[in-house]
Amino acid sequence: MRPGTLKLAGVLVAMLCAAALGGLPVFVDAYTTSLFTTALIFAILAISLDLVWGLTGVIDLGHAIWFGMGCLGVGILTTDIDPVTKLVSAIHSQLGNYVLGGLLGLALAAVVSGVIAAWVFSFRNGGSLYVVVVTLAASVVAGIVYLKTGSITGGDNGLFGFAYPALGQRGGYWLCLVAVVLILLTALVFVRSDYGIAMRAVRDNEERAGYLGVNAFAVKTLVFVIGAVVAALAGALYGTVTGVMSQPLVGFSFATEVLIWVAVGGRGTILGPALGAFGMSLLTSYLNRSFGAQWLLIQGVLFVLVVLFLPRGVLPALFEGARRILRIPASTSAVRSLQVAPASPAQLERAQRLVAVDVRDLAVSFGSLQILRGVDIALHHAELLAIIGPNGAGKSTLMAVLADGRSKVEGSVSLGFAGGLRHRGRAPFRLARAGLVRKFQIPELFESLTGGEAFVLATHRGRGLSPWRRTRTIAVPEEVLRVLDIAGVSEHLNRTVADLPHGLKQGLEIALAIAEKPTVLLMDEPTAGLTSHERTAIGGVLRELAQAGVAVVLIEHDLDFVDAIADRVAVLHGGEVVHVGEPQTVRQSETVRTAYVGVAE
Amino acid sequence: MTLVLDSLTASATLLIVVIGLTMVLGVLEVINLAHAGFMAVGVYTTFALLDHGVEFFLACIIAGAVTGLVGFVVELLVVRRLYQRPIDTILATWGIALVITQVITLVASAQNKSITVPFHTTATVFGTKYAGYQLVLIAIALVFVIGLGLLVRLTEIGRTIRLVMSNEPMARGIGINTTRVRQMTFVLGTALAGLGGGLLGPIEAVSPQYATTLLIPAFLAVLVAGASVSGLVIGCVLLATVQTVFGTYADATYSTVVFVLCAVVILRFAPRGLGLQR
Repeated sequence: MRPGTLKLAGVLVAMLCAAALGGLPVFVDAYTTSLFTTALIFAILAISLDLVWGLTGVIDLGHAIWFGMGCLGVGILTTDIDPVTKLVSAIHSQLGNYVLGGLLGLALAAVVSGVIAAWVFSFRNGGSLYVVVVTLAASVVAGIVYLKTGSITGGDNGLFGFAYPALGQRGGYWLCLVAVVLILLTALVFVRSDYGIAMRAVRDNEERAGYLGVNAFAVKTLVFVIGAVVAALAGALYGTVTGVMSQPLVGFSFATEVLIWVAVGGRGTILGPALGAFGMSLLTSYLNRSFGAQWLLIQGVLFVLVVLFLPRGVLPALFEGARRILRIPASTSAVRSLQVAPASPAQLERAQRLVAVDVRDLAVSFGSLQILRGVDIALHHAELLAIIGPNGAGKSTLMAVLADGRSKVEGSVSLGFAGGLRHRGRAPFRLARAGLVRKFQIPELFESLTGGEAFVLATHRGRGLSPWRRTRTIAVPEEVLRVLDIAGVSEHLNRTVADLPHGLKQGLEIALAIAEKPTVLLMDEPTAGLTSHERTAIGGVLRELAQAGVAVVLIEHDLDFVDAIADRVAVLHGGEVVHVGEPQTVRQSETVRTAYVGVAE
Repeated sequence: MTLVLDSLTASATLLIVVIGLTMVLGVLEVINLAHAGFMAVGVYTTFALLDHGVEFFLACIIAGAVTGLVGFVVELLVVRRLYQRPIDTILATWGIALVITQVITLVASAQNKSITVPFHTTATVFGTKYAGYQLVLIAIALVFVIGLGLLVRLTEIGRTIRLVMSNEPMARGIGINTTRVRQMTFVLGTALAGLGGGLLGPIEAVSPQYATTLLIPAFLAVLVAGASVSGLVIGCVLLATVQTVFGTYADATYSTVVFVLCAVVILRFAPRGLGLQR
């Protein structure tokens, strides 16, 4: 089957489903309609959690809180509570109360989730575990606070009977159906946008994303708040349509149920969680009537089986199976058509021979272990500086410290570009955005991204990514194309990076670093794992970059290669710079020989 | 004095819940959300044995063994396949918890049950009258902690476990069957859950949702404790005391809030827990 036919078939199926769902309440009884309504609302809730957990990798064990807030907002503004019995005594069913209540719930969810996100994610290395702790704690607190504020929440009894009467059973159903379709489409566009790439990059490898200029804190906080607001919207709909609010709706059990829908449906696919929530909540409410306990038991077993054998969820597994049966070539689903077109290297024009990075008296130590001491070195624009030295000399540490201003160091690092941006305390993404780019020693790319998607991040330096548009043609400097050709990655840009062999990953890493249009390019052993032919060719590209004004720094072991391309060589030994000079001076230097061989002859 | 004893009882309860959980988390790096479920297995087994006239403490010990057996099966079928996928273990053990709760509901009905307190007598400690069984629990918690400490520090098993914790590939390299060590740890952890479940039966409401209210505080306490015996004691005593004191002098329902907020703040500043070593 051709991809075009497939797409058409997909659209047709979707339209048929929508039509069938739209006509449903005309043919079934009121009870069935209400079950389907709830299932639709839960689909929205699952989508909201998938944005946070599936796409961005943040586990939210308190996701039900946001849903509850939306529902509670509507409930509070439409009900009066008898101060004595704590029961609902009057209903205000004007449309304005519902709208205002919904907005109140959304605003509350946005503010509280924003505060939690800022608290959790500002924590450096604020691991994935801490967010689990905080959201878990939040759901405990929410449950208790709900019970203690009975005068507005109804406490143990909850709030009830506040459904919007003018809607009616069918009206409520259609309202929810329209909401599901709109939110589903919006979410699909959002996750397929350039911003969606940044979300997945953060999920796969947060630290590495930072070196491409992605502000992981901002991405995670924003998505967390969006997820909370969408969940609150689902809650507000639930309140408006069903007119019921109770304490379990903010609790941990409900939150884990949503988690299960998302996991079973297929996290990170948006459609999977929506279908999972829809299908499982329908099944639950049908089967609960006749086989309550048995059904919950089967649900638990099914869930364990899915986690064990379909770790990516049911929907991705179904797609995979369909692909095999229909003999669709694997690439069709993965293809994100991408053409790399040369851009003018205008940004690369720099003043010649100016100091780009000035390192003064730099010292780094871990405990009693002194890695670097008294390092003085200046990196010039338009110069290729090679750093050599035996293993353990501190070369990679020097690179790491230069690319991350938050490292604990003594001495100073000052930047001669980007308006003299202060280096100290700056996170890697800020330095990368300013033009200080690092290529890691060992390729560390993103598991689920294609090479092309990584280029979208690199060329934007992680900034100004569109939340709805998807870049199909990426403009990169001509040198990037050359590196891609040399390493032979050009035809593999639409493959998932995890599937590429080491040599191609290495080429991709170098190309990515250059695509960031660096002012200072730090390369840790860029040519390790490449053939000598590829190495010479890449050396040529690096020389050209230097001639175009970039301050190129590379760690290298091969002295012949260094001789051929470097303007200057710095020799690092035991954490100290023992020699700096032109390449030919290195071999003659007594100190260098001592460093490498041990004794001077 | 009552306050001190109340705090100690709360600490002891928490310790009894948490000790198996810590073991599993520390050695296997598995966050076992089915822990409460295993405690429920323990308490229902105890309940059934008491019905047949078995003496209370013997019943608890048998319950521990039975629960360990359940743990053995669960490890073999589920947990073993997930060692490299920490997030999935959270999900899978949550699923197991659902299964256990439902099996208990089907077998023993959802009705609340109660276990009579074995020591109805009160004892006098430093001039304060206090419930006897609570004092027994404090003693048992002490025995657990000292036993665990000795096990980890002094025995061959402890040394093997510590090696597996600190460097798993190395342990495998020198011929330790790490799969077996993990299996034994999980079984021991669940057996302790079952034993603890039985022991706490007299002071908790026994239902299929047994101990689920304790699970979240226990989970937070484990993280606060970190993977060490000293952290375990410090963490549990600290959190339980804060909760008890707050509950006595201020508002009892909000004391859980204070408890979880404490855990959140501590973990923000000591993400690896309060343990003295490591």
